[in-house]
Amino acid sequence: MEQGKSVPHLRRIMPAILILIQVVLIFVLQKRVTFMLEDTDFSYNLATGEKLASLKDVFQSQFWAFKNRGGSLLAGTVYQTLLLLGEGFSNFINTIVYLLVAVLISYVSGVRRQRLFFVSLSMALIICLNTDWLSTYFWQFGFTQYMIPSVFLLFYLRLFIRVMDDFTWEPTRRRVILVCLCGFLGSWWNGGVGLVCMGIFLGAFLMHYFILRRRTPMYLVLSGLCALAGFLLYVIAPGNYKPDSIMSGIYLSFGIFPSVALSLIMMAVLLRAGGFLTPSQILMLLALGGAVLFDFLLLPVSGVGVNGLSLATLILSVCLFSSLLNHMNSSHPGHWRYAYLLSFVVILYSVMTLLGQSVGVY
Amino acid sequence: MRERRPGFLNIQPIEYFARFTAPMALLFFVANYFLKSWQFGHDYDSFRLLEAVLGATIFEAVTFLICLLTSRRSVAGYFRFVIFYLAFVPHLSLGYITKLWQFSYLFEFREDLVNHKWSGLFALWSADWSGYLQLLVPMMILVLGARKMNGGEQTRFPLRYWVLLAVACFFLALMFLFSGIINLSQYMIAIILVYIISDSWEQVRRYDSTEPEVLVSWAEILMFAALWLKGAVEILG
Repeated sequence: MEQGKSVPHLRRIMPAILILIQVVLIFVLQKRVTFMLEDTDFSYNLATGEKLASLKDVFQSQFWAFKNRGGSLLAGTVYQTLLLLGEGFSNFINTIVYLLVAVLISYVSGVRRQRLFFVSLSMALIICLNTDWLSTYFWQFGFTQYMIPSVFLLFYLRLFIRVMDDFTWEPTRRRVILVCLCGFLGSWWNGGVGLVCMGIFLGAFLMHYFILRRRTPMYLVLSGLCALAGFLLYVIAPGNYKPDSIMSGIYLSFGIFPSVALSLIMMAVLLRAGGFLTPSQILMLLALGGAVLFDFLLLPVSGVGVNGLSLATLILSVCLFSSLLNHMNSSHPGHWRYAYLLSFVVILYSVMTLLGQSVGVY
Repeated sequence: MRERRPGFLNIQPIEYFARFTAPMALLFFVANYFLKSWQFGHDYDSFRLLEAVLGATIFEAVTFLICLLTSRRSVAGYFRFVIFYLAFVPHLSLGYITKLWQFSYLFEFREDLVNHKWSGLFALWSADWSGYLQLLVPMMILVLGARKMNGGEQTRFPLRYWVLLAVACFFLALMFLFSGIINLSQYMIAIILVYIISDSWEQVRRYDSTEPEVLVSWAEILMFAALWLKGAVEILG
């Protein structure tokens, strides 16, 4: 009897410990990876060439960058502000944002039971499925340009998921404004995230029109338009079209294949085990398909936006994977032990990789 | 409620492909043969036709023999296995295979492990082992779980799986100790995992005794097409 009681307790404690271990490792590694490459360049006022001293310098620098180097004005401003505030503050913010992304993934996946388990799994999967994890999550430039807009993307996706899972649900006005703002800011922050946001809207529109035979709710249309507005604001920067634009560099080099393949395999497994896809999962699948298509189409174009598209695709894949795994575990309670085994392997990989970097063997 | 028309997603894929089964199978076989001969032929500075043909023939023989060991033998099962193989099993060049007879080369101690101790161990983890954990091991766990769920909780995994996993662990240990054997160990571990995944997948299909939903069949085709494309792009890339 005592043994029977201890199992659920252990199931609550273990994911919490694993999350804590990963958070500590991520924070330690954030401290070890100092400002480098673009971080050094952007520590100076780009207009005057002097060291950043105040917010005035940041705005002046970004105004110059908007005209001459391109990229997102919003992302650039936050980036230079973080550089101005110093490494200690940036490390703290980066760790919090990383954890927030994992928590949001579990919410987007519709997880109600064992949420801590899915948070720890998502934290590990984000590292495990990205071969260029060091540049994406621990280099300040990479983190600001690609990881922070994922928070907006996940808030944006959350509204669509709620609507798809329950058609009678009506969001409050405040929530609609928040989601429109997230779509706008995410798209303005990174063009790739903007494309994915518009892909999510397009997927929802197609599902309403062809499958559900309903009119798309006005607030979804509005959030799609906000994403489009943010994307246009990102694209119109005159600096994007200059020869030494920030858009001409390659900043990340990881393939989206492992993440997409894992979610496709999970989908095939669920369907073969007698499961079905919920409307929200079909929406995520459509959005993922769109993101993969964009990835291939924009392959010859390099730059911040396209790299952002790869990370947004990875985040979408992890959301879809978590949602499908949760679905499988709910319909087949016996599958939980495989989910635990899977998470053990993924977390082991992630922790060993982080440890390998922390002890400095590369 | 409007009546559903028989559209693209309401017809089983087999009905589309039934008339073209033989030419499609032949085309697929030729395409894979071409891909592997391309890979073996380009192991050298210039393309060598003899090595290309020899390597591709060895590939066909190995995959065919392994497929004979699976519990469910069929042409479609063979092609599914080959797709997994192309996508996940690392390439061994003929030059390396011929070196495998040299005992001193194969069992040379790894210097990084001897010189750097713990940090060397982490480096080995990142460099040699991690790639398999990244995708193949999670895949194997998922497919084994599906097999158990479909076949019933009381279904036991065959003994050969445990033997093969023990062999994979043995090769893993060898890989951490000797430098010459790294590529062979990676190949063996990958092929064992691919075999287990492929065999379990065939069992999952068998246990799915009801007529599968059309969407299920299309989803499966989508997955295998994506895996084959990955393998092809990597080989040609």
